[in-house]
Amino acid sequence: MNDLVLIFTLGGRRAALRTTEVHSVVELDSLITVPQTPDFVLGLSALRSITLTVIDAAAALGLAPAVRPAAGARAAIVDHAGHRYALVVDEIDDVAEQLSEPTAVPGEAGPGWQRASEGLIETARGPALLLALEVLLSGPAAIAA
Amino acid sequence: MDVVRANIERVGGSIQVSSTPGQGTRIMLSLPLTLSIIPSLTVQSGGQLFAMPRSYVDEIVHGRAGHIEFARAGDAVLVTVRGQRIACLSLAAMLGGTEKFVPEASTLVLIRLAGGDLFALACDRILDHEELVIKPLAPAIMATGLYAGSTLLDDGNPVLMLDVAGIARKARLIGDVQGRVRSGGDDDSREAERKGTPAMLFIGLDGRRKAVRLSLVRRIERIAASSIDLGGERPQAVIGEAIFALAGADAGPLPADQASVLRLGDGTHEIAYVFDTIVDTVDLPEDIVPAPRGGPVEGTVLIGGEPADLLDAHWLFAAFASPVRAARRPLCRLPAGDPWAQSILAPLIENAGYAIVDENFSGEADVAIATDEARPDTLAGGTVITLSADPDSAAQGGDKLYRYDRAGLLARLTALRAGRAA
Repeated sequence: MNDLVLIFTLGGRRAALRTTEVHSVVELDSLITVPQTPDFVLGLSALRSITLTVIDAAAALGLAPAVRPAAGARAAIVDHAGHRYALVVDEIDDVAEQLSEPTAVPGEAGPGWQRASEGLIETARGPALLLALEVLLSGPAAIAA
Repeated sequence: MDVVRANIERVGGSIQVSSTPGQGTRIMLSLPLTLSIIPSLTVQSGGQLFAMPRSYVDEIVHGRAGHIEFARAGDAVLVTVRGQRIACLSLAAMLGGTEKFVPEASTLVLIRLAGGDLFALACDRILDHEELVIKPLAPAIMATGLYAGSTLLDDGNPVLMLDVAGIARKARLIGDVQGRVRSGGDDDSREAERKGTPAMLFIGLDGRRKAVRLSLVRRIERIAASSIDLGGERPQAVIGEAIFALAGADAGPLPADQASVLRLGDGTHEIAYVFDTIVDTVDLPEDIVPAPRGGPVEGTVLIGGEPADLLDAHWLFAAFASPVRAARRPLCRLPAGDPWAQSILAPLIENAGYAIVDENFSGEADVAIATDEARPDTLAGGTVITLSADPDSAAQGGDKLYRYDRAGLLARLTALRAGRAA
C-alpha cells in the first residue's frame, strides 16, 4: 500500500482524500457568492483562468453550518465529473502514506461521516476517515437521502 | 438516461421528462449557449455582477422613464410599457435578496423568451456589453435553475451567466413546455368562445342549414301562409299590421298553412326571412369560407361539424330592405247577416290578409263576398266573389265559387291583392 492521501481536519476530525483526486492546494483569494444555492456551495472563485466551485466540506457533510472562509484560506482543489472544485476545510495537514485498506468504523461514525466516508484508514499521521469525493460534492441533501 | 443527463448537465443543459399514463412522454432537452462566445450584457444587482445573454434582451428602460407605469397586483409588480402590461421581476429578489424592491429606481431589462413571453427584469444598473466565453457550472449550482454558466471577466473574477428562462420559470411566468402548450390551448378555446358571434341556425325552405347573426334577428313569427304574397314583383309578407319584404321564399315551396319567418332588422329597416325550422343558437366559428360570388350567402361555416350557409345580411338588406309600410290591408266586405260568412268564412279571409267589413262600412271595399243567402246591397267598387253552397252552380263558371273551394277562394283573393299591389 503506497497510495498517498491528503490529511486534513474537518469539523475537528481527521479526514483524508486520495491524492490522485486532489489537483493542488491553493490559497483562495476572491470569492463570488452564488445566490440561491445550497449553503455548502460557498460560491465561485478563479484559479489560473479556470472557474472553481467553492465547497464548504464540513457543511457538505452536514457537520457544521457553512462559514465564509477568510481571505487566503487554503483549499484543496479537486476535479470531479468535468468540474473543478475548491474544498474549504478546517486545516490542511499533510500528505501521508495510506497504510491500510479502508475498514468499517467500529460503531457509527455519525450520519454525515457514515455516508461520505469509505472507511477508516491508518496513516503515518494517525487514523483518518477516507472521504468519497462524489458524495461529498453532492451535499448534505444527497447524504441524507 | 443517466448518462445522457450527466452529459447534458455537464455542458450546462437540463433534461426534463414528464410522462402521463396513456398519453405519452415529453422529453425536453434544453441546452444553454455554453462553451461558446455569446454577446452578453453585464448587470449589477445587490452589489454583485451578473451576465445575461443579449439575444434575450428586447429593450432596456429606466424605471423613471416617463412612458412606463408601474402597478402592483398583490405582491406582484407589473409594468406597462407602450400599452403592454408585463410582469416585472426584481433580479435581487429572485436571487434571495431582502432589500425592498423599488422598481422606479431600477433599470428594467425587457426580456423576450423563446416562446414569445415578455417580462421585465429589474436590476440596479447595466454595466457593459461584452462577448463572454461561457463555461458550465457545477451541478450543485445548476440545480438552482437560475444560472446557465459562468465566465471570467477581465479582472479574473468569475461572473455568473443568468438563465433568464429559468428565472422566468422560477417566478411562474412560464411553466414547463408542456404546461405552456396546454394552457395556450385553453386560452385559445376560451378566446374563441368569448369572441364567437352568436348566430341562429335554422333550416331554410330548401332544406339547407343556414345561419344568421343573432344580433339581426328581431323576432320569430308564425304567420299564415296565405299572408305571404309571392305574386308581386318582390315577395312580401303581412305580419301583424305591416308588410315586410320577404326573403328566403324563392328557396322552396311554402308550407301549406303556417309559415315561420324571422324578422331581421338593421336598425332602420326590417325584412322577413321565411324558413322551415329553427335548429339552435350557436357560436359562429372564426373561419368563414367565403362564397365565390356575392349573393344571399356570405359564406359557409362549419357548425357542429356540418356546413351551414351564413346569410349575407348586407346583401339581403340591399336587395330587400325597404321601409316597412304600414299595411293598408285590403278590405273585404262580408254580409253581416250571414252566420256562415261571419263565423266560418271571416277567419279565412282575415288570414289571407284582408280586413273584414260589413254592409255598414261606408267606404269602398276592395272585394265583396256574396253568398247565396245574402248579397251585399252595396256593390259599388271592388270585385265581387260569389260563393255558392251548391257545387254544381259554382262549376258553371262565372265568378261563382263553391263555398268550400278553399284553394280557389284563396287563389282569387291573392290574385286580387297582387293585382292591386302591382
